[in-house]
Amino acid sequence: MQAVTGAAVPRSKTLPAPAESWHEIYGLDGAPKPAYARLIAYLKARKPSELQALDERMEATLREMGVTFGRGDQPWICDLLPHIFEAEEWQTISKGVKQRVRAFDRFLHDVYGARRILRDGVVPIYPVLGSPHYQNALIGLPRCGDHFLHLSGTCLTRDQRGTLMVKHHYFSRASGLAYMMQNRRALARVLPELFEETAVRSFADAPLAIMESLRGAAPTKAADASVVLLSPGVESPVYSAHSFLARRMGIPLVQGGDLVVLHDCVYLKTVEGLKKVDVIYNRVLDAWLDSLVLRRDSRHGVPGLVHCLRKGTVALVNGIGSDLADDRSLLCFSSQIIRYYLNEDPILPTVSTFWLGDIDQREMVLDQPEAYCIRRIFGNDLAGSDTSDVAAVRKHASHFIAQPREQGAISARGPNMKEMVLNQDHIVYSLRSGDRFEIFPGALTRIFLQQECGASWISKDTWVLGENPEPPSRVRRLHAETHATRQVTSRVADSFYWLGRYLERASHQAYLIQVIETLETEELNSAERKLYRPMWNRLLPPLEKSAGESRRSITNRLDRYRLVLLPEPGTVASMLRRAVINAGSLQECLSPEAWATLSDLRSRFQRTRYKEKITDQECARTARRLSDTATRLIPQFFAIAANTMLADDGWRFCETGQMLERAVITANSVVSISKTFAEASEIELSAFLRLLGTRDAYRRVYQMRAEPVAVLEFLWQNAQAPRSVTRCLHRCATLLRESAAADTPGTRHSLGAIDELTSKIEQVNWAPLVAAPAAAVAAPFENANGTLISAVLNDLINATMNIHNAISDGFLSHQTSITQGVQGELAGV
Amino acid sequence: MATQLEPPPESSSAPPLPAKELEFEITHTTLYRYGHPAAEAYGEARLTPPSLPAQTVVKHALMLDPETQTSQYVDHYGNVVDFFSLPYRHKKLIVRNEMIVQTRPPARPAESLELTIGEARQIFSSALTDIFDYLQPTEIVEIGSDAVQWARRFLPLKMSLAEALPRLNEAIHDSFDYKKGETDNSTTLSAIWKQRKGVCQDFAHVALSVLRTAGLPARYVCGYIETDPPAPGTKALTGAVATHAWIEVLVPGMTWVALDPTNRQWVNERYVAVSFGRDSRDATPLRGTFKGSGGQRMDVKVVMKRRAAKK
Repeated sequence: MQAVTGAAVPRSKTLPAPAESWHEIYGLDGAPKPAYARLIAYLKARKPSELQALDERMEATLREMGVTFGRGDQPWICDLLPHIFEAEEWQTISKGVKQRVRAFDRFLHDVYGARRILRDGVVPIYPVLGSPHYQNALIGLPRCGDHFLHLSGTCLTRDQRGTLMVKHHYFSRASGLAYMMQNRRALARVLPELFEETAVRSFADAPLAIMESLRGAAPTKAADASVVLLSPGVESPVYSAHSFLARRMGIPLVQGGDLVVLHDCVYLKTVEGLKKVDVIYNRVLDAWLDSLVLRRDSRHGVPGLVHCLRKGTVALVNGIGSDLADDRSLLCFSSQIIRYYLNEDPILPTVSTFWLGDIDQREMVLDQPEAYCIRRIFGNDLAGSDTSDVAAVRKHASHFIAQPREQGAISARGPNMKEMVLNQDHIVYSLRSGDRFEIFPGALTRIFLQQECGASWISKDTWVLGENPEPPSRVRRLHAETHATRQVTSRVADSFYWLGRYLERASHQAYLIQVIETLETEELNSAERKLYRPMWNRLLPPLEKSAGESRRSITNRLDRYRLVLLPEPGTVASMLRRAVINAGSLQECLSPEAWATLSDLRSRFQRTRYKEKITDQECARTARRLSDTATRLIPQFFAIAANTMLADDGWRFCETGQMLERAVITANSVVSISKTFAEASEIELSAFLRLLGTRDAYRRVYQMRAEPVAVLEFLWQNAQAPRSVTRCLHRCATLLRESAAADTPGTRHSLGAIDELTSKIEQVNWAPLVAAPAAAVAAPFENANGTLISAVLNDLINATMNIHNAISDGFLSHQTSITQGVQGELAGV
Repeated sequence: MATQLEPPPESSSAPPLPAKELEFEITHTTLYRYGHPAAEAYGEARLTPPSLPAQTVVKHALMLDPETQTSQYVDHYGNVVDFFSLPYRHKKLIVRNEMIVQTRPPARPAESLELTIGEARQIFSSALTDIFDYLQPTEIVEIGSDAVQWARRFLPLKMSLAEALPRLNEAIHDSFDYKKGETDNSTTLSAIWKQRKGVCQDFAHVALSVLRTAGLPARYVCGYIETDPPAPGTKALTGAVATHAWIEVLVPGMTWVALDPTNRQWVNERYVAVSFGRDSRDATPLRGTFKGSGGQRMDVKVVMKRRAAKK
C-alpha cells in the first residue's frame, strides 16, 4: 500500500494476497521473533488452566481499577499477550509521529491565520475552510505559546507487507492515553515477572510530564499555575479515562458548569470560593466549548471562554481549533502538508484515503462500497464512526471518507495465543515541551475481533524495548503534588447537597406512608382514624410544592400508592430518581459501598412499574413494600457513606443537605397544623408526633401527654430531639465550621444566617403565643395576618428556607463573592 | 406595505443624485425579562456602527443595566463586538444603544458594475481564499433548487452587474410578500421559498442564496433605516421601528455594493449599517445565553430621528 499523494489515484481494488504476510510474533521459519522469544517461552511454560486464571485476573484487576469504556460503563478488556515494538522501529515511529505533529501544528496556525498553504494552492480550499470543524469564530485567536498541538495521539496500522502507516489523527485530543497507562498497570500487577525478564521502557512518569507541559502553557508561566481537566461529564464514553488522568495529575476534573467567566477571566467554582484557572486541559469538542460563539445548543462548554482565550487570560490545551487536524479528509493531503511546512519527505506513509466530497472519488468508492471502510470525517474518543448506509453517505458526502478494507498484519491473542488477529492499530502519544516533542514509549494497541469495518475491539499493552533515557526522579515528585491540590468543586458539593436533601425528603414521605399503612391495617379503631386522618392530609402539602392537587390526599390506599410510585414530581419514586441522578454525577467521589446501597434502592424501585389499574389490596402491598424499602435503605446509605467516605467537603454537603431538609420538613409540618394548634386534641398531637417519627423521643423528654406548648418547644428548640429545627441547624453549623472553607465569605454569611435564626428560635416563648387571641400582634413579628402563632411560625419557616439561599449563594453559585462590589439588582440575597 | 412602493426612483444608468448629507440620532433599546431571575448571563453585542465612506459616526454609546463592564474585540467579519458577563442573579437586562451618525449617498463603482457576471467570477477566482465565506451556503442560507433556478434566470453570466443586481432585487420584492409574524428565526429558507413571504431578514437570506449560487460573494447587513417622518407624498419604508436587514454584493475592485430587496432599491443615505456577516446569525445585534429556569422575553424598540438636513 502506498501513501496517497494529492488527489488519490484509483487503484486496483482486489489485492493479490502476498505470498508471505507479515506476522507480528512469528518469523517465516515459524519460530517466535527475537523480541517475543522470552515472552512466548514464559507463557508456553504455563499450564492452560494457569493462563486462563491469569486472563481472568487481568479482567478483574481492570474492573477493580474502575476502567470502563462506552455508555453503560462496559468493562475494558486488555489481552494478556502484549504487542512489542523493537527499539529500532520505534525510532522511526517516533521521528515520523513528531514530524507529522509538527507539520500539522504549523498547518493549523497557517489556516487560522495567513492561509498561505491555501493561497499557494497546495491544499484545496474547500476541505479546509468548508470543513465542519473549521470555525470562523476562532480565526486569529492567540494560542498559548503560539502552538495548537501539545498532547496528541497518532493512530498507526501495519499492512500485510509489514509497512507501518498512519490511519488516523487524534491530534486534538489524545484519546486513549489513560487506557495505555492502565493497561500497563494492570499487566504489571498480574504478571510482574514478565517485566523482570525483558527491558521494557516505562512511561510511568507520563502524568507528571503532561502536568509540566500544561503548566508551561499557562499565560503567567507560574510554577503553581492552576490547571483543570475539562470533560463533557459522565455522558462521555471515556469519562473513566478523564477521571483517571485528572486523578493521576492531581488536578480537578471539571465540567462546563463548574467554570464561570468574570472580568474576562475563567474561574473554578469551589466550596472555598472562586479560584482563577490558568490552564484548561480540554477533552470537549471545539464546537461545544462556548455556546456564545460556537454551537448555541451546547451544554458542555463555558460561555465566554473564547473571549478569555482571546484576551490571553487562560490557556486551552490543545489550542482551540485543533479539531480540524483530525478531519479525516485532510489525511489525503498529509504528505503535501509535511512537505510544504517542513520541506522534508514524510517518514510515515498514510493509509490510502478517499474523500467523498470529491465527486470522482465518491463515485469510485460508492461503485463498490463493500471494498471500503466508509467513515465520518471526524471520529472522537475512540468511538466507532464507520457506516454502511450508502444513502446517508450520498446525502452528506463531504462528511465521509473511505479507506480500503484490507487485511492487515497478522498477530495473535488470547491466553493461549491461539486466536488469530488480522487487524490492529496502535495509537502513539506525543507531548510538547517547548519547541520539542517527546513520544511516550508505548501505545494503545487495539485489536479488532472481526475483519469488518467498525468491528468491536479489545486492547493490548504495548511494549517498546530498550532502556529509558530519563532519570526516574520525576515520579517521586508527582506523589507530593497529587495530594496538595484536592479541591471540591461547587458542582460536586451541589450534587452532594441535593443528594442529601432528596434522600431525606423521600425518606420522610416513605416513613409517613409506612406509618399510615400500619395504622390503617393494624392499630386504629374507626373513631381514632377519624382523628388521625385530617392530620395526615395536613402534613402532606408542604412536602413538594410543585406536585399537583390530585395527589394531595394520603387518605386512601390508591392515593398512597400514587404518592409512592406515580412517575411525576412529588412522589417517593421521583425524589429517589433525582437523588440517584445527583449521585450518578458523583460516582467517582462516592465509595463503592455507598453506591451499592443506592443502586440497590434504585433497582428495587425500577422493578416496580406504576400501574393505572390496580386493586386496593395490591396498592397497599406495593406502597408498604416500597416505603419499607426506602425507610430501611436510605438511613442505611447515610450510615454506610459516613463510615466509608472521605470526610471531605463534598460529603459534608450531603449531610448538610440532609439536615437542612429535615429542619425544613419539621418547620413546614408545624406550620401546616398551626391554625388549629390551640384546639388540637391530645390524640391529634400524638398522631402528629408519631407521623414525624418522634413520639417516643417526646415521651422520653417530657414524660407526659402531648401538649401544644411542649410539642412546639420539642420540635423547634430542643437540642437533643432527632428532628428539632435547632438540632438540625446546629449540625449544619458544625459541618460548615469543619469545612476547609471555614474562613470564606460564603461560610461567614451562612453561619451568620444560621446563628441569627437559632438565637431567634431560642427566644420564642410559646405559651403566650398559643393562648393569644388572633388580633394581638406584637414585635418582632409584625405584618402578620392570621393568628399570632402562625405569624411567628411563618416568619421562622421563611428564615429556615433562607438558610438554603445562604448556603447556595455562599458555596454553590457564588453569588456572595461575585456580587461584592456589584451594584446590580439582586433578588433574595 | 413594502409591496405598494413606487418603482425605484432611480435606475442604474441614471446620473447619481447630488450628494446630500443627513444626520440621524438613533436609540435602540433591548429589554430582556426572565421568568425567574437568571443566575448567570453572557452576551455579545454587535451594536457599534462602523465609520464608512457613506457614514460617519459622530457619537456612540452602549449602556447595560445592570451596569456592567464590557470588553471589546473585532470579529472575523470586521464587527466591533462588546462581550459582557453577568454571573450573578438578575431579573432583567436592558441594553441601550445610542448613536449619532451622518450619512451620504454611497458612491457606486460604475466601472465594476459594467462588468458581466462571468467576468466578475473570473476575477474573483484568484481571490477565493479571502472571499470563500461569502460564497458558501450556511446553516441558514441553504442553497436549494429554487436558488439555482433563480440564479440562472436573473443572474446570467453575460449580463452586466449593473443590470442583473437590481433585476434580482426587484424580482425578490415582487415575488415575496412582506408579512410580519409568519416567520421567525427557526423558519428554514426552503420554507420561505415555498410560502413566498417573510420579513426583511428572510428577503436578505433569499437574495444571498441566489447570489452565492451564481458565484457572486454576498453578505448580510444589519442596521437601521429611516422611515419617520415620511417625506410628503411617499410611503413609510418597511423595516422601521426595529432593526432592518439588507445585503451587500462584492464587485471587482473589492468593493461592496448594497441593495435592499425588502424595499426594492439600492441602499441610500437613509440607511445606517451596523453589523455584517454571512447570515443573520453572524450579524445578530445581540446574542446571549443565560442560566435560569423561567425562559425569557425580549422587547426591542428602535427610535430613529433625523436631526437636521445638511447641504
